[in-house]
Amino acid sequence: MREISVSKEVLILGSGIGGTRVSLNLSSSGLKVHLLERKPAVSCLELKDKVKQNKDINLITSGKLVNLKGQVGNFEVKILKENEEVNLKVGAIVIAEKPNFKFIKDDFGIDLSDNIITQSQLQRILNPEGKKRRDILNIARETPDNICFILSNASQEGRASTVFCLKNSLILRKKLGSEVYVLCKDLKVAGDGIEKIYRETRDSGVVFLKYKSIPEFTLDKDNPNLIIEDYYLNKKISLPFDLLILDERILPDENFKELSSILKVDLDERGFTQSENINLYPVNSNRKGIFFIENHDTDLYLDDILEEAQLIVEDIFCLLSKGKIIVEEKVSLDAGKCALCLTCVRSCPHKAIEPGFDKEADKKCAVIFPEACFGCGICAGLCPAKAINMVE
Amino acid sequence: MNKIYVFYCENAKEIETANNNIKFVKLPCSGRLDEIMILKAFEDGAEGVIVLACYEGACKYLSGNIKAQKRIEYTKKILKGVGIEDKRLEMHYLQANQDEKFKEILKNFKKTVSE
Amino acid sequence: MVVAEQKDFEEIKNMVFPHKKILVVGCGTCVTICFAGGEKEVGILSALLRIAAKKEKHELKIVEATIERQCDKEFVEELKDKLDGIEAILSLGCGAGVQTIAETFTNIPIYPGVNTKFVGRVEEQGVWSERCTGCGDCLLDKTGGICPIARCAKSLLNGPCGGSKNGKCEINPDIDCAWQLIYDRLKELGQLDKLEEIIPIKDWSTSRDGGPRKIVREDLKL
Repeated sequence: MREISVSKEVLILGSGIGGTRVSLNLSSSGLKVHLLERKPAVSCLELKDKVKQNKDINLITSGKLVNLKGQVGNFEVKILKENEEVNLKVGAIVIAEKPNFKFIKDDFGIDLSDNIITQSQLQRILNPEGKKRRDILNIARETPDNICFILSNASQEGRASTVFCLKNSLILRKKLGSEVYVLCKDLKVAGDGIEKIYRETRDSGVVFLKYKSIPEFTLDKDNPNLIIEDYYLNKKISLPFDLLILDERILPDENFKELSSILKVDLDERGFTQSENINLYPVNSNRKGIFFIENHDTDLYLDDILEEAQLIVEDIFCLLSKGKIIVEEKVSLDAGKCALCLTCVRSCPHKAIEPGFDKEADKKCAVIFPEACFGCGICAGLCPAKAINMVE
Repeated sequence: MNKIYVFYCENAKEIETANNNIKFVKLPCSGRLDEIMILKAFEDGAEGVIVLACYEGACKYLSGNIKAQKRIEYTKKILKGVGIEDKRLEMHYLQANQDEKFKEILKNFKKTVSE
Repeated sequence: MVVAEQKDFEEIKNMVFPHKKILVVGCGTCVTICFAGGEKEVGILSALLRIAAKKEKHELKIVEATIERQCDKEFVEELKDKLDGIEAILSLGCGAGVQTIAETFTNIPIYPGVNTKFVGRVEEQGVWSERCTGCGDCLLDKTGGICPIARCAKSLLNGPCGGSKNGKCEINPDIDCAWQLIYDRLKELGQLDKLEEIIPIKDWSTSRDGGPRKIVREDLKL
């Protein structure tokens, strides 16, 4: 058992609601935060000012992560900001970069237009702080009488599009008094308060129609219609609409692959950063000291994001607040036998092993970092030189 | 006395049942398993070896159970070369509260190896 | 590094079974890295031999050892304390290792436990492939860093044969045509003009064909 000193600074990648919330809470707990954002401005408009005014948050905009070395407590990070290198030493890293909302034409078979828009476009219009202000009345030529939302198969995989749809349909119903229809498959309301929103939306007069398959469309300029095969009536109904709002698929951001290789964290089969392994979910990655928030589609639901932010803040605080941690060696490596074949370095699921140098044996060999090691013994099972053993 | 060896991942099964004919070996993860452990069991006269691992996707250390499966496939191949049949080495997936399933597995295995 | 593969168990068994006490010795460098003859493989093979011996009611005692390198006599000499009663040595080292042991302990029969295959690289964990045949006169500067001697089935020196199809060799669709690789690489390097230089008939005397080779550095001798 020994003590290692750790940095009391934290790096947050991404300034959406998740990243900014974690930054604010961590800084108020006494840790120094570096908030890195690729774009020139903070993404989360609500908390932008709070972040800028906070003296314990070092905001780095127009910057990106280019290299990472080291393990939890002592990560050495290299950032590129407008062609200048910034080197930092941090104790923990939080990946708070958001995935992408993408409209996939094949999901519906029609193109977007003035009166056929996506959930994101609607979100930007309804958002009072949105820079591009477009009056909703400009979308249709007059107040839309009939507004239809369609929830596609994408909504079956996560809750984000369902929640956005329920909230926005309620807003439009209340704001404009139009007839609002939500066409959906199964409505999944598992989550804090979602069922309440659903009931409120229904009570306001929004009509929910369950379909058997994605509706067909007849898109006459003056009389656009959709034809839905109603699940219960077993009949095809023609529904005219003045405004049609379609949901989007949530896809991994193209930056995830690069981040995954720099930080040596796993991506799941779909390319998202977050693992669904019950032992890690919802905020832990395969590496100690590297956390996720807001990368996974089901957790773009705000209440979940805030809950996860709290989990991460607590974990990081416990880890770094004392400036030192006590580590226990769970495996031992005999440097004399090590041939540096790199089998353990490649196979360690937690990336806790690196090629290095053993001072006592005066030899280059694999080095297992106890602060990052989980003690699973996978390396011990594989080592061809039998150089690694579990410490009893 | 011919024993049955049970190598178990401590996350897959927690309770060792007292039994003279079974030798339990606890591992931090099924991924810790290596071929020599299984060979030594047969050298000691084991009738058969059962390996218990966590279900796919539930490994506490992410890929341990996958590594264990590959080790066992390889071990089966080399055991064949010394006349120890495929049926004497089995891998099963379990979680900690599945005592009944383990009892079934053990019962069936005892039957298989004594045929 | 040198890449080797363990021999079939039956073959090894037949070599050692006439004896009652043997030393199985592994090597801590190349064969450890390619999982053919390191300490782990020594343990596995010894256990298998003991199980087989018991089954066939054959008396066999095995002493296990692994040394840092089998091609240096200082390391091989470390084995002398383990030779009490040893009737034969089974080495899991490459051909050079087996022979160093044979030259050091001349009165004990020595058997090879692995087949030494090639000098190659690690493509990924668990995959090793041939890159160098030790021809003694390296021409990698002319071919963009890709060796036609080792990687072309016919060791051609001036372009592919008619059997090159879709970038693959005619003898095996899994093998890349070396000259396709060379062409692609030289194109990437902007050195396609090198292909216009004719590489003359190879002088194979620098290779094994000239007899067993030796390098002597008088300045380094003690």
